[in-house]
Amino acid sequence: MRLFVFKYIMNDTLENFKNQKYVNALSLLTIIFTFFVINIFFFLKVNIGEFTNKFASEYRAEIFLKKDNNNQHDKLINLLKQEPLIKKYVFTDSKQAKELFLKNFPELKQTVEDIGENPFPSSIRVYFKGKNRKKINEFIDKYKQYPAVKEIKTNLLLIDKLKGAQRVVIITGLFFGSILLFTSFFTIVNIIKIVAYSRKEEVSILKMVGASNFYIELPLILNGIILGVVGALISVILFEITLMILPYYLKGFYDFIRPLIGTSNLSAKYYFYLIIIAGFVGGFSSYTSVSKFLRKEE
Amino acid sequence: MIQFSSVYKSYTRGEYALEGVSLKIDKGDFFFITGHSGAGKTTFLKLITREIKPTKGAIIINGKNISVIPENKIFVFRREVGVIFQDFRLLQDRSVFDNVALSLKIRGLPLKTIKKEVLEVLRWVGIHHKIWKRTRTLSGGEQQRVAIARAIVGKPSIILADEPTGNLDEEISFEIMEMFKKLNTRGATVIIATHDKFLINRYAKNILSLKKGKIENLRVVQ
Repeated sequence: MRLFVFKYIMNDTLENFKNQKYVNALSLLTIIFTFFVINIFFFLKVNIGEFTNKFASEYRAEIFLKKDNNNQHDKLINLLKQEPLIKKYVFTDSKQAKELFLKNFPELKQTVEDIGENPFPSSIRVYFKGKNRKKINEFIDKYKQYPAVKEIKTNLLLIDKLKGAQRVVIITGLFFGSILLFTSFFTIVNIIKIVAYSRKEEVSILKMVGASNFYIELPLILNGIILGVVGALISVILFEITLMILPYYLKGFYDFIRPLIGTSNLSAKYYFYLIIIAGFVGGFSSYTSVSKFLRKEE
Repeated sequence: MIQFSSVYKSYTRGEYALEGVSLKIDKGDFFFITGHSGAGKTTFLKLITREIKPTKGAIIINGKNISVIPENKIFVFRREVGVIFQDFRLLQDRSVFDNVALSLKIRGLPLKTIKKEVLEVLRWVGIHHKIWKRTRTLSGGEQQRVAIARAIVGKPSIILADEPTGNLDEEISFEIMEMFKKLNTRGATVIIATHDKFLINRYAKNILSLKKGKIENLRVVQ
């Protein structure tokens, strides 16, 4: 018997869509836009996070050395070997540095030749054990004073900036995401209100002939759930299509921003939860609307 | 059995639409409620369907005090009552079948059973040949037949009719009243609210006459 009731309820739900197709379509567009924007923020969050983690996984410093003092360089390397804070180090002499630069930027070969003297200093890249900033800073202060050292640069600042950017994306995403979610919530509330009012007469007849609140409410609640789920699903499809066609339209710019986007797509698990949340938002907003409507009708 | 015990209903403070009404309507009675507009006839019927609750007093129907039935359970009680209105209250853009089937769909009956029962009841009220017509294309008399079919298809024990012939001509009114009589002889308790003196004189044995919410006259023939 319940099965038949559900069948009739499903028919009523479809009837609601048919009778109010324009308002439902409008609501669907709002939901698609909301979840598309949410997808963008999550995508940025995930990829900036990944990029940050890649850098933040290793704290390192680049020790640039003064020129032509091989004796001092050896002494420094020996000292570094004994440092408990250092995991490993890589020495690059000025010749290797020049070769590396020319390999990466062959178009600048003539410029480098024009300078005459090799402008690249020898350097030692040190990788730290752990992430104790205090100790790293003490290490830098100590070795800055060393006669063979010209300058020491770390990746700490870059890590801080990336983490800051990630925080900005999360906060902005949360801010706009919440606003858009509320917009969707109120859109669905009002759409269901319109649908419910369009069925006002039918609802009063249904009550009169002995329909349960479940029978009256469920088609309207299902209407909201379907709007949420279908809206989220379409936003996911549109977002994936956008990611696929983006490289073709952005061309050179895409190569530039490639480290930030396109390294990692949103997971199926994320999409699954997104659709569940969308269904919940749809269901909850329509329930809010329907229960208010029915209370008013009583 | 329907029993009203000192029932009061007030919509605005200090003013009563129904004031101290006590009466008993036995199972299988054919009962008329009469009175001028604003006498309290519709309020009386609305109290029976629990569309509204009494301000004071108790209403016992088939052994249950309907005022205390929780809101989420009242639908079960409403299935025992069939209601017919002067303005028919049909879904105008739906077919005759859809309108009548509504009462059975909510009970979760299979479509095959619904079709059979709807056709049977439409045959009884004489409108089966228009089963797939939209109700807005029907005449007043035909629409009232559809409304009766919707009210009785669930086989309720109580049938309430609020000015059922108010929009109909004399001949059709007579046919509709004959239907109520037939339903009554089948065992249903029929309560008709009307101010049509012709109908009252012709059909009424048991009459509750209301005036400004109070019982003006109560005539019950045993």
